[in-house]
Amino acid sequence: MKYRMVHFISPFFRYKTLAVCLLLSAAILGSPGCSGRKKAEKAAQEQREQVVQEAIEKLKALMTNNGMTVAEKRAEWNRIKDLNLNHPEVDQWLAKVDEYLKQEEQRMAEEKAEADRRAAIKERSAKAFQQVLTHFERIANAPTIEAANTHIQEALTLFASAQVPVLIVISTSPSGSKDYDRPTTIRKYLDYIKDQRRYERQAEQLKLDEQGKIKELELLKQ
Amino acid sequence: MMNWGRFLPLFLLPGLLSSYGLMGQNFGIDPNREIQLQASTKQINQFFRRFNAEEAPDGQRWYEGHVDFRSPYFRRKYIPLLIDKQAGIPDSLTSAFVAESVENNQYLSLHAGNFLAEVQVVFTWEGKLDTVQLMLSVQEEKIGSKWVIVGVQGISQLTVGHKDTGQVFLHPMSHEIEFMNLFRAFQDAENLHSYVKEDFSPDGLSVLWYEIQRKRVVFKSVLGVRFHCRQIPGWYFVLQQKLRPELNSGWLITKLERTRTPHPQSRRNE
Amino acid sequence: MNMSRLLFSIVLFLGLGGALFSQEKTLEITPERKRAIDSLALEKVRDLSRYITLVGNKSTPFSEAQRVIDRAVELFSDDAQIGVSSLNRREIRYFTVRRYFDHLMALNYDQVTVEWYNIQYVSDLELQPDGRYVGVITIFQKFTGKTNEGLKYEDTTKKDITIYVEKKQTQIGGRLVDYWDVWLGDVRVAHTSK
Repeated sequence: MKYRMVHFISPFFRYKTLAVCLLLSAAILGSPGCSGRKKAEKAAQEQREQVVQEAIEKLKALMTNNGMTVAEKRAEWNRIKDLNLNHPEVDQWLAKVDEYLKQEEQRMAEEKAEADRRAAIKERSAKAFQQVLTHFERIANAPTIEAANTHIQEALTLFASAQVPVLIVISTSPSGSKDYDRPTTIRKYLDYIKDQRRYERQAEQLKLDEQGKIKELELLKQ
Repeated sequence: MMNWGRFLPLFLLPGLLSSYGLMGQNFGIDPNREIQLQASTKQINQFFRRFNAEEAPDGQRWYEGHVDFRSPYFRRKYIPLLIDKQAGIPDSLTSAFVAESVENNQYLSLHAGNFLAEVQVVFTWEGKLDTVQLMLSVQEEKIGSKWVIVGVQGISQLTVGHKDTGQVFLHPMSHEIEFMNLFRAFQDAENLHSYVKEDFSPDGLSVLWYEIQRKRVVFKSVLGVRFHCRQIPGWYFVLQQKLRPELNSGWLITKLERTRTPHPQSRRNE
Repeated sequence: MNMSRLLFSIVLFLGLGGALFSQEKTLEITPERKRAIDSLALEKVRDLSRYITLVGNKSTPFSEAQRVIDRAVELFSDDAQIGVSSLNRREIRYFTVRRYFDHLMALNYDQVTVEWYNIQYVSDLELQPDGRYVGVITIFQKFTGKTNEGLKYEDTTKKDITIYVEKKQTQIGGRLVDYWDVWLGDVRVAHTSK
């Protein structure tokens, strides 16, 4: 190895002696302490670059459908923000993602409000249908025609008018399309219960108006 | 071989929509009568379904794809039950009919042709009651189908003076007198046949058509109906409704004949 | 027999002629849908029985009976006829639905019951030239009319009831709803032995 080194250096000395001397002196003048600090600085610089790049990549990912919830994305955003990287590109992405997350958070809030509203409607509809069923039962089991007529009048107060449409689903295809019987009105349907002494016990849909009166009733045939 | 007791249970299982038994108050209904009505062939449609084995013993409809749909096993059991036991049709004839229908995969259908309805109808003809037989068949249309009248039989007026007596005629030199002697023919309704060609026979449907348009014929009522079927090659049978409180009742084969040559059109039902 | 043969050759001609046309079915009735329509049609028939019971009962006030007759008439097509024959009288007598009910009201029984035999037959639905489907439901009923004096009339009949089925569309609450209109047509009533 030594021989090979010598062998390597020998021609160097032979042809570029002056140049090497100049280089060596420059290296000696530069001192060994100064060279280590620069290396460390370079490493730190590289490390910081890496952290910045990682932060940007993570921020970019937050704007994609990466399987994280909006809340998790926000937590991640906060963590990156708290790193205080003070890097213009990172700051730019933080702002961009913040904007995106704000929109997402608003959308989530709206969706929740809508779901709550629907649940409330569903509950109100279910309650309303329970009331309707009670009246149906009273009409069907009324001991006299007069009693049945009284119950019909009471039942009608739950509806927006006597002409409220009543739909009856007779079958549902596998694709979800529904087959109906001939549509009728609540007045006729209540008379029908009185005459036939039977009624459908399941509601497919019940729509209420602003006053809480039923404006459409869809029943499911047993 | 056509032992009712043996195959009876086939038609006696609970009805297709037994929940409808709750429709009325059934406290006064005789259960034996229900058994009889279950066995009874209630419609021509049901006669076809049973003949083809497209219906379960409990009345439930079998559609194509069902394991027993048109099964020879059920057909051999069902078809003998569709024969009127009081019509005196020999068992040997029934056996041959069943065997040929099943083995040759012959099925019945309303739309296969060779299925003729004979309806007994009462008309008043110039104020007098008259019963005629209308013959109808199913005609396929661009959409769906309909029954159409194809013939009329038994118009009593048509049989009046149907014999050529040989005593009256337009003599062979009538052409020389410009047929001026035709007046005799039209004065002599009783002997009309003597004046027309030998093989003429008046067409009932044309006569009825004309008389209805002249408003000389008024429909009164239907008296009864029976069907003539030639859909099974080599066979002809008549279907009639027997409303009697017996298991062997409803629409049944009341006449069964082997025809010498299978009707060519009857292969259409395949 | 010769006549019958002649007629068959006419039928052969007509039958083949008709078969050349391809049938354009307006819409398909699957076995599942057929089952739903069958039970809907049977329900209409059951409703009719109940209306008969109500109208036949003396305790039903006149105004109520009139309303019930209107509802019963609504189950039928406008020109539907009820054709009745008895064991002694084979000839069919024809009634409009309203006349049939008026006749029932005039009978003046104190109590009327219409009992169903647990047997019925629902035919296939056949497409007719106007695009509607037609079928026949056969039911058996026992009618009993009693007066307070103890007089009793009883009969058992086979009823073959025409049903029509048509897919229709209507607007309900701003949306289009497809529905199956099922209504009754001519009814053949044949008395059977007791």
